[in-house]
Amino acid sequence: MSRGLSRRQFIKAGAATAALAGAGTAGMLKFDHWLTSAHAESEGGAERIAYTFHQEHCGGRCSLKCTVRDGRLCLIEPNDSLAQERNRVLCLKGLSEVQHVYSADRIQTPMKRVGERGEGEFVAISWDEALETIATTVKELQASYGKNSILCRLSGENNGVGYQYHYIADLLGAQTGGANGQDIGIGNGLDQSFGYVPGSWVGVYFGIATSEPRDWVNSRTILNVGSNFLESSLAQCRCFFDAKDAGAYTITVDPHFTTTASKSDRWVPINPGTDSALLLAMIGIVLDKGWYDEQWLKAHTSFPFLVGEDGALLREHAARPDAEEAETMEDNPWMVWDSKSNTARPATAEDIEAALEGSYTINGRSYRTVFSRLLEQQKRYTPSWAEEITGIEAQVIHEITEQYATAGPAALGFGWGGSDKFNNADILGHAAAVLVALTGNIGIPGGSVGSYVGWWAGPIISFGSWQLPEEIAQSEPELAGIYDYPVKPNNVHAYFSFGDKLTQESANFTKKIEWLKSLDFIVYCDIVASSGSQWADILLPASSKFEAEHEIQNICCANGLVLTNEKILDPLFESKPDFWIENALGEALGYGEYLPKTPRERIEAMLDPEVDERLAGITYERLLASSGGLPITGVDTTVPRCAFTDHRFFTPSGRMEVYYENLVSFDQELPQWEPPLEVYAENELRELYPLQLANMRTRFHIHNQFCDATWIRQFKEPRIELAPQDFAARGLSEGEIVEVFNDRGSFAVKALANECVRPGSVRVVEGNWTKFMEQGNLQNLTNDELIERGAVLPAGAVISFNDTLVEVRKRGGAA
Amino acid sequence: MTRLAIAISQERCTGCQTCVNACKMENNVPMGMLWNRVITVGTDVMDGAVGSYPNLSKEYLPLACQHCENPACMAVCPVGATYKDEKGRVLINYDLCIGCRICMAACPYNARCFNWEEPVRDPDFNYGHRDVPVRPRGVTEKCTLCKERTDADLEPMCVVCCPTRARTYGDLDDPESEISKLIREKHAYQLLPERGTNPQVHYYK
Repeated sequence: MSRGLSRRQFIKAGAATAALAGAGTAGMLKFDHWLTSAHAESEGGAERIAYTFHQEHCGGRCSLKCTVRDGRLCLIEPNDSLAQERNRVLCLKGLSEVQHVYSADRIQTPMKRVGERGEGEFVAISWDEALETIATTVKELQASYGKNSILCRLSGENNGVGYQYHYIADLLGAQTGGANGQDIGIGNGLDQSFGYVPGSWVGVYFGIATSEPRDWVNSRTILNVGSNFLESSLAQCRCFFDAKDAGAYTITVDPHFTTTASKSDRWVPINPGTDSALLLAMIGIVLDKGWYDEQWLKAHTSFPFLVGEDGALLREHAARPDAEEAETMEDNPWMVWDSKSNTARPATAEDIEAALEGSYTINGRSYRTVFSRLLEQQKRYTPSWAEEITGIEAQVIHEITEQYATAGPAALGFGWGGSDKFNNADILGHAAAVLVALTGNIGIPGGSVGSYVGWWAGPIISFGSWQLPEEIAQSEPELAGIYDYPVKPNNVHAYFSFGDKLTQESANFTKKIEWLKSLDFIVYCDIVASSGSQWADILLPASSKFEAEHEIQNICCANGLVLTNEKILDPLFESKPDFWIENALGEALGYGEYLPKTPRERIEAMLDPEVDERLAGITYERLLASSGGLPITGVDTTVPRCAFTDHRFFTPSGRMEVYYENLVSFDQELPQWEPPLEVYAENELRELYPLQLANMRTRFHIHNQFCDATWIRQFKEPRIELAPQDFAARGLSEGEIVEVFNDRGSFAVKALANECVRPGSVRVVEGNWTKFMEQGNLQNLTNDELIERGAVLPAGAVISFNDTLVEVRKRGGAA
Repeated sequence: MTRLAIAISQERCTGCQTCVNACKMENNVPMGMLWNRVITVGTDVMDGAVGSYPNLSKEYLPLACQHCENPACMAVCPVGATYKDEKGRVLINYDLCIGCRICMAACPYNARCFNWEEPVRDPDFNYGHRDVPVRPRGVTEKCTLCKERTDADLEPMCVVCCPTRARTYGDLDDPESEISKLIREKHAYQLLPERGTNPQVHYYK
């Protein structure tokens, strides 16, 4: 049986790959001139093995076993010395470091701007000149405008840059910008329902899953709403197949036919930005069908709590106006209706039978249970109502709801690259909390909710930190979120960007450019000259994490391990490791005496078992003797972390809280449908800009990382993908350059037709560098409108990158 | 006898290309050439799909030398440069290869690459396993089943690096090996069986 395969296809695919790979070699540097001066480890081809953890921001943090031959990084393998097989993993991005470390786009020396800001014209300067310029300028600006006139943003985006800087904002006295507006969309509405779980990242408003994906083998259903897990979480993606092998039924809801959709038992296509409408309809079906456990709701959720007509929950006594923290169940119990005594009683009272439904008059005022409020509001969210909005047939909504609610333990998954980049993402998170609470799919084997991507879902350690004197401290943010700085008055005169915070954390970059031009001073520190570098006045060359001056230069915790970043190579070019740069800036600013002299001093301060007892016995010496890391102690990491197995939640009430009093003034105390700001169906703007622009994630990049890696570029070049009918309607031909535009701005890039793209949407990979596009940054035209609700949401406003309408037209010119 | 082979689960293959770069790195494969590729089946669009939205399907196929029992490439080589070794691997003696490329035309799987020019490496030094021979301009090259590793009883690099554990390496001549069991139990299939090459590489869903 040939299964539709033919020799023709083997040959065509081979030719395409070869052509792309050949293109990737253009402009390649020759390295011999500097490698000879880079202290070759040994002569005659002797090999040395060293270990480092890899990237943070894909959620991988894979421990890499690196072979160095003649001072060159020659081979990268999974760390086979780690005890748990699951941790012996890496992906194409880790392997590509064999080339990427030597990228032609490395910033090789400190540089200063010579042309107009933004033109990208620089000349090389010495480290001494760079440091002195920075220190002098910072002191002058702070003397003129105050300490908080410096803004410092640290990225997790680049090899060494970002998370290895521990106190640079303190040394600069800088403000750090407040809320970041990204990846918090769903967590903003989900996490407050269960609270922060110590020893984990659960409940910090990133929507981290309440259990690890390793627990999916216990799930009967995995309902994956908008996460392309099999591309964005390569180090964990085998959990998906292990779960399928164990019998889980997998459903992926996504506008596009993603890799994850294609591997799921069922793909449910959906209109972009309407996922919360689907969940609201699912809640309605669960209520209609009675697919909930009344006793569980009464005992472990806020559904029986009593709500007044003003939307406030009834407590035993009035809240103390001077209370600094929310009063707990013990301090001031929530009231429920006791069916035995027919009176309102504290939920903590013994020998009561809390009513789940009902309307009651108490002291002359009307109250209903939270559950009754939900029942009433859900009447409008019928499957046929949701069909209109989501484009999913009502019957399909019924089917997936029945599967999720009745087939046994179920996982409800989200991601950080689609539905969370909309104004209504918090409502989606809130609706998920309600659905999970109703069905009891939390705190049980196979039952959990959130984003399962990356090591973040596993147990984590709290490290100690190197202590600076109190007076060396950062400034308070002036504004609520970093998204406010380009558009609201503030005192910032200098911007320090470690990694590309400059372009990546902005929608409507066209508008941000005006702000960047208005600043007095911009310092950009990175390994490679990614998009933000063009706006710098001073460029600082950071080493990749493969390059170090010390045997261990950093540690981190992931996957149940304390992992080491050992020295693999000497620093390349004139680059310096983060530790050196942070110390050198500190010294230039006059704080040298307060800083650790070596990374070891800082690491030993981090390994403080008084801060976290699970660090017991993990010492610098033991880490040095290990092959890349040691397991944390006191936690059985052979089994997946699962939160709330005792059905105790880390909320003020100790229950799963589905009613959000803080959102009463926005009519979102229970989740209510809110259309997207821009891509809603009836928007008249669609006449001009009929296509939704989706910023998508792929296996090939971590945001802007690896855009310059030729071993990655051999697979794909930046392109915008259209559905074939949209492609044909615009008379486009494959690979031709198109302009993508709206009233905010435009960019130009090659275009391609792909059947996987939802008609009416177009896809572009977020993080693509400006220099690899034909023209412009892809954030030039994304939606920067903020919702007012952001003022009261726990993680601030969300940036609605994907809530963007555009048109695509031929630009002319050869591909 | 020994017949080393790989069995690949297409269900578990997500098209992530990790095996492609693992092979490139380990075997010092130059730019513009790949010994191992991942094809999106039935479409010329990488990561595309077959069908029309929303009735779509997608399947990936990792593709390298199939280490055939009856290698078409070996049969046509005029100088005997391609040979089947004692462990069942199809290998090339680079010193004998005259660059006629008849083997490339004969291979039904397009598994071979040719050094048309001086090989260009990025980074421009010999990376990968230290014992992998450096191939000069004018010779053909392809997957060796990581000869340098498998000779040392290590698994091929594509197998070690696959994040979804889609690949199983072993000896087809050992009926108790994991790969032999998988091929039996999963009803694994071969590519283009009508060509009579009888590949040792197997696939299953």
